[in-house]
Amino acid sequence: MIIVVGMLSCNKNWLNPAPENTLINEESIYDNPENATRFVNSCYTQLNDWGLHVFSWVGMSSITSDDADKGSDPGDLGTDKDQLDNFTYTPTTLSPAEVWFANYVGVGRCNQAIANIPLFTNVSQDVKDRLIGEAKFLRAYFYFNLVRCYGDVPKIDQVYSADSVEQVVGGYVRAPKSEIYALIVEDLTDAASRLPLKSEFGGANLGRATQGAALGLLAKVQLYQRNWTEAMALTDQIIASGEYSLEPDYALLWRQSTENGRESLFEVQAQNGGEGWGTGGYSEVQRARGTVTGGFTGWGFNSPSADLEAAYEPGDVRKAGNIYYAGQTLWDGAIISSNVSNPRYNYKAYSSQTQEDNYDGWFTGKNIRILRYGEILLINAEAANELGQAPKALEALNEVRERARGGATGVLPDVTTTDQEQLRNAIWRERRGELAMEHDRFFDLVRQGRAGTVLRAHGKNFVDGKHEVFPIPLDQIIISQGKLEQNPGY
Amino acid sequence: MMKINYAYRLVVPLIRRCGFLLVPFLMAISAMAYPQHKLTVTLENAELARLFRIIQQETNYQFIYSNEDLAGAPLITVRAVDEPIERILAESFKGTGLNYRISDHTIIVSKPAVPLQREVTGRVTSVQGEPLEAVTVTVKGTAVATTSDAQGNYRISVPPDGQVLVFTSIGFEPLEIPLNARALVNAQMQEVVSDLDEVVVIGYGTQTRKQVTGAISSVSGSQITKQPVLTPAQGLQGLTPGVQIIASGQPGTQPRVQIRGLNTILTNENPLYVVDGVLTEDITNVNNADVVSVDVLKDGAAAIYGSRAANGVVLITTRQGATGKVKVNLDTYTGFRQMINKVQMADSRFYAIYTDEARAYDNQAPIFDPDTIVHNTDWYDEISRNGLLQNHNVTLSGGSEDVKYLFSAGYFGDEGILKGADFSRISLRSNNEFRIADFLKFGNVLNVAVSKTDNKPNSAFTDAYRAGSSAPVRFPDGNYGFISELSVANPVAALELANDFSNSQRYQGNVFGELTLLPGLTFRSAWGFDRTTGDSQNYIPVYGYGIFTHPISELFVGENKRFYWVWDNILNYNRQFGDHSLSAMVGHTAERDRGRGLIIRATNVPAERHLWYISQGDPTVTVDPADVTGFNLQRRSLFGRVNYSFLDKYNLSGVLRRDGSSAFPENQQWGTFYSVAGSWIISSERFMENASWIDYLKLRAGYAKLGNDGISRLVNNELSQLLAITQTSPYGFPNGLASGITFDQIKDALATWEATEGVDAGLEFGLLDSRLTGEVSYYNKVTNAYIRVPTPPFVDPNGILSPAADVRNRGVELALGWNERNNEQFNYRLGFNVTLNRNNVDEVRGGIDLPEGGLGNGEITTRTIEGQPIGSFWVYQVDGIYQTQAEIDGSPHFEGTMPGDFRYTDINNDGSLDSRDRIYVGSYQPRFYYGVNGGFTWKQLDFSIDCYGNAGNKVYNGKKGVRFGNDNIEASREARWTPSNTNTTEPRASNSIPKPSTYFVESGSFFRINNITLGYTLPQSFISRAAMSNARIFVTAQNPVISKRFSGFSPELPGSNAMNSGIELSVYPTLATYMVGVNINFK
Repeated sequence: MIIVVGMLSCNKNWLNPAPENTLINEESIYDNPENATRFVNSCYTQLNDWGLHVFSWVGMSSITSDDADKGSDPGDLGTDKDQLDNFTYTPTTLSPAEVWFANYVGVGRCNQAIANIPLFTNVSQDVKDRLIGEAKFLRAYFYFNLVRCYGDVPKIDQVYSADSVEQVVGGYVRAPKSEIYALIVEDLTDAASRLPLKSEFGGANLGRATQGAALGLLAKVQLYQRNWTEAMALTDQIIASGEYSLEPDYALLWRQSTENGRESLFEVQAQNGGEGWGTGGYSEVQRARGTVTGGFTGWGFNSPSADLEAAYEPGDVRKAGNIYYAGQTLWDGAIISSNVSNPRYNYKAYSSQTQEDNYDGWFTGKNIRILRYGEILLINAEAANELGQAPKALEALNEVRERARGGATGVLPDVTTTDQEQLRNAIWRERRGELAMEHDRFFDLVRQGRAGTVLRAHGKNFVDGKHEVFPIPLDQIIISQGKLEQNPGY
Repeated sequence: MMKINYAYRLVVPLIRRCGFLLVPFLMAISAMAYPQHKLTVTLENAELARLFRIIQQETNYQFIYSNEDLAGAPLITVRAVDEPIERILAESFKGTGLNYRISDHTIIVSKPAVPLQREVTGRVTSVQGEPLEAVTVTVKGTAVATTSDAQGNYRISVPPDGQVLVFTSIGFEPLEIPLNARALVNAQMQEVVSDLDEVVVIGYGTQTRKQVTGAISSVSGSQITKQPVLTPAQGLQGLTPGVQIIASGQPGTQPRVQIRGLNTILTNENPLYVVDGVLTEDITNVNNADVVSVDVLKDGAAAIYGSRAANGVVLITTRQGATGKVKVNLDTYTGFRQMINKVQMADSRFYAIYTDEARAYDNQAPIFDPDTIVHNTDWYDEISRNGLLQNHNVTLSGGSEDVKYLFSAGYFGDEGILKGADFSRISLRSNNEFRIADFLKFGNVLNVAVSKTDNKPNSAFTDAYRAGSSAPVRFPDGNYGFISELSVANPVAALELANDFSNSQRYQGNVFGELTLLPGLTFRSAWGFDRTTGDSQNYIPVYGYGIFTHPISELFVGENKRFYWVWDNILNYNRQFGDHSLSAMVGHTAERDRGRGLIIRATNVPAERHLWYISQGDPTVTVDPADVTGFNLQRRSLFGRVNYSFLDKYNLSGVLRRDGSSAFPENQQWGTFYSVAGSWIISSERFMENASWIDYLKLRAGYAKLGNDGISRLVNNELSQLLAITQTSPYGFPNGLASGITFDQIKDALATWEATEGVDAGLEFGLLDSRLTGEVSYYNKVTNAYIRVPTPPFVDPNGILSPAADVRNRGVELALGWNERNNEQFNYRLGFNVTLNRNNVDEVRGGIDLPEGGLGNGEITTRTIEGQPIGSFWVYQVDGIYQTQAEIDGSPHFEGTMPGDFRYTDINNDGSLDSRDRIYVGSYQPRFYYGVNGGFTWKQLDFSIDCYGNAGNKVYNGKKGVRFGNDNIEASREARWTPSNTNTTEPRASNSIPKPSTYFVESGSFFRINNITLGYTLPQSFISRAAMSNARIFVTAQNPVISKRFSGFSPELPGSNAMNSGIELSVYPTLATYMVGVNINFK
């Protein structure tokens, strides 16, 4: 017995068994070529995150704007959606903290993918190039969200070693907005050179980032930076590629039937597979609150505003495409009770219980459209107008208006003005109607430099010089040990 | 001189014989003598003493007598005329029952001599009526002794001067019974509650209580078995200081146990359980009837368990057979459980009025017409029942010098109060010991427990709270009732649609050998094991009512298994050298804990239970490996203990343990834990001899460093690697699900055990013939506790686990007991104990705060922060109710505030309300908790009562604090603010999600009668015909009375961890249990 005890004591491995059900070390990861793709998949997964695209994002990108009200019951503040609606949020408000957190988790995953994919020796260079392109596209997307929301943000473009907390915290300082934009442009340019055309991607890769997605996002980024020449060139390239065209029926744009369709440049994917296969809650938080016969009910947030409703010209099919009403019978036969909490709801977030695939009301099959051809045309129009090419601008603009007529005549006449100021306003108005409820309006108003004017007219407490960006979350300032500086006014 | 010597010669034998010395007796001695022998005396109904005085006056005769002997003598009448003294005396003493003897001129009066020897027989039983074997019966003041046989019977020859029998047995209170000339004396012995010679289990060995240098509380099995509870831990509540038990009544669960405060923030706060040497966290497999003792090691006393000692150690010892012929015991009880403290909900009329009133504030149309409502459903009545509880045990035991055996079989069935939620357990035990030679013995302990649980969702309690009382259980068409404007499932449907079954089989025990190498030196090797297998089936059928639909049936099938073993090798040495006594122990132990589990899902599985297989599901749907787990933890430890005593007065002990665990990074795998302690038995000192009222007085003090490796359980094996690969959620590409990986879990390279260091000191005493015993203890300790230190999200979104907080617990314990037991007919005992504890987060490095206590509606309620107890409630302060819009406009307020809403204090006076205006208003941790116990035995009856309470803590009424709109409310909301009822503290009707505020924080203090038991032991004459040696019937009420201030269901709210405790959401309500039972021992 004592001998056995002695043997046991000498067995050094006794305290170092292989951990069960855990990939043991970094080396063994690289043996399996599938893992290269998995590193990128983890970046895509972050798109489904609650903090990235759901409640907080809906609040920050939409409820803040004049397109939507808080919605829901008056007493249900959705934690802080009242603060977003009224511009009373502070550094401790949850939504900006969640959006910051979720996007930086995404940045971290992209950094891991970009750093690790080159280490695979049994993956072809082509595939590696493409995977790194996808990761860079996604990193650029996360940073575009961050820079739009917070202005100057930490530029994290490498994996931080775990060796010391000090080193990690040392990198947690804000970089100027311009540096972040430079990184985004660099990433997207690189991604566009690595990624295939949409048509070159087989069905197996449907849903992954394409060259068109990278170019399109880059065009939007250049639009935000007022780099008109680049914006126009990029959108021209997309238009000329022949890869994309407008979906004829606007109302179908956000349905399952048109997912990854002709108009789509990039979408967040959701499938009818089960729990976790989609963006949990995106549809539910925005669906009608109250009795729905033949359909899921929801929390009723992000209710389209009366102002948005009134902004549509007579005969514009996009109004009915974007808004459904209390008492309405929806496209799938579901009947919204007239007793529901709010007069209007976001049709783009509606997911049919009977006509579309859903795991349940929470995990729906609803893809979130991030970038589509309709916006490419409008970017093209805006850039052309700013560059003094009114006819070119009108061409793109009127292509968008053509669909909004829904085949009817005598409504929504073509825009004909060549006055740059008038045309700019026409394009901006078109963006609002076309991209309503697509998480664009607030950032668009800030980009256009008229957020204060428009939103104050809408009764909001927008303070110029403060509310163009959201506060840096206080918990992140604490984590940075004070190195992150707060935005002015907060 | 002569006279004195003469008297002395007479007196001394008298003293010896009668055992007392009386001053009046001495005064009665006179040596004067007169030569006269005849006397004339006339006395009518006079005392004998009067005659004696006359004779002494008239003659030279002297009397020696005791006043006491004469006291009972009848009055005499004497009519003597010049008669000899001898004759007068002979006449006078007739019928007095007294003897006299004339010696010279001295007349010695005495009581008649008793017979030289006489036989006394009787039977010795425990309070519960079980016969007690091998009880020593001694005639007090003599060397005459005997022992009782297996049936408890004894026979003893009492010498003539024997007056009192003394009964002694290890583990029982000594008992003295005066004979009073009887020939049959039955004795009922009480088990020791706190006896200095009692053997205390201390981990890898035992000690007598006197030698103990640390804080150990012991509870006998009988105090546990009388309670209708599943685990021995639950039975400890209120019986010992320093041990806080937070139990819920849910079938099949064990309570949370907290010893001397909360020592950890993130990890398991429960003590380590050691069942017959097997270390475990789950004791739901142990049958209470098998438990002989439970010893609780607190602080330094637990040091021998090193890295798992910081939360204390609870040692559970099961019964062994005793020498003698086979004994068969039957213990059984049956009763029912009942919900108490039900909160009165609004009836349907008030519900309708309230809901419409709340909607009107939000400009929403009414949904009810209060005058046309037909249903009035009490959802709590609909989901609850009086649950049947039963427990039946048979034990066979016996043995010879060489073989001792015990076999027991038990059934425990608990239906619980939630309809359909059942738990049952069959347990078998076989404990055996074989002595092969004088120097070698072997033994085994084997416990098999098979349990079956029918799980019903506790959320039904929450749903019952919320569901509108105007909805019927079922509509006339048979569908489940609901209110379409309310997103709460039908609570009855929730129960009826749940098909969630789990089974577990557990085999736990050990085999051991013990070898005596030299006198005092033994080697023991024990291999303990714990094997668990389990399986579960959870079937969710197709259903649909209102918005609650489940269009596709789903089946989840789970399997798990775990095998744990521990191998102890221990060398023990005990030796006495003159006044020095030494005991030393060294040991080595190795452990492995390994397991795996799997839950898989299928859809479209038929509803018949025999078809609940994954293969019966839709083959086109991927079988989803929803949850695959696996773990392997290996440990190795070296430990030793030295106890040294000098003159039995000065005791010193030292414990050292080195623990190695695979859970930690390679350079951090070993930890060293220790304790040093000493005790001084002051009462054994010469200078204490005069303090006769002090029987026992001991001072003890010690210092210890203990560990808690619970963090390794929290993060599984991951902590052992600095960088781990995370499998992220999959992504649903149109082509199919794509799995993802990333590196995002960085670890603190210095991660290691949570260490607790501190002092423990105590004073133990026994006063007034040890009838009053007690103990006062003080402790003060600091734990270096793990928290999740947040890191930037691109590094590790979960933060780094790091021991970055210091938590202090300090407190005082007091235990007092009064035991009156020297009476055959009536014994009683009273006990009281109280623990005062202060918990404080001394430091959180980096100054971060840890928010927790989420209500599930986006609101959090607690924070753990420097300078406050763990999990302090952190809320807005209510400062009255707004009466007018002008008041609202003139003060900081939240969006949507209306007259009738709460006004909150702008704590930082910055003109707006945000989280910086929240205040700390206490935590769930009580300032003190206490137990009050009492009992008596009177003839055949026994009675006991045990109470428990705590005070000074807070609870959060989460049920009230969560609203989703149009929910039901409590009946007390009738007092709400309305424009016509403004003088109230209840806010207006509202569908708003309430802000966490002081309104929802209530006192958590309560006092409860845990157990009342009344037993009756049937007379021998009655049961002996039925081949029984003992039979007792009893009735018990468990938790019959609770006095609390909390308006909710139960102030006992364990929560998922320390930071989430004390929030009432889906809690199991408090239960009362009423039962009857019998204990029978067969001949």
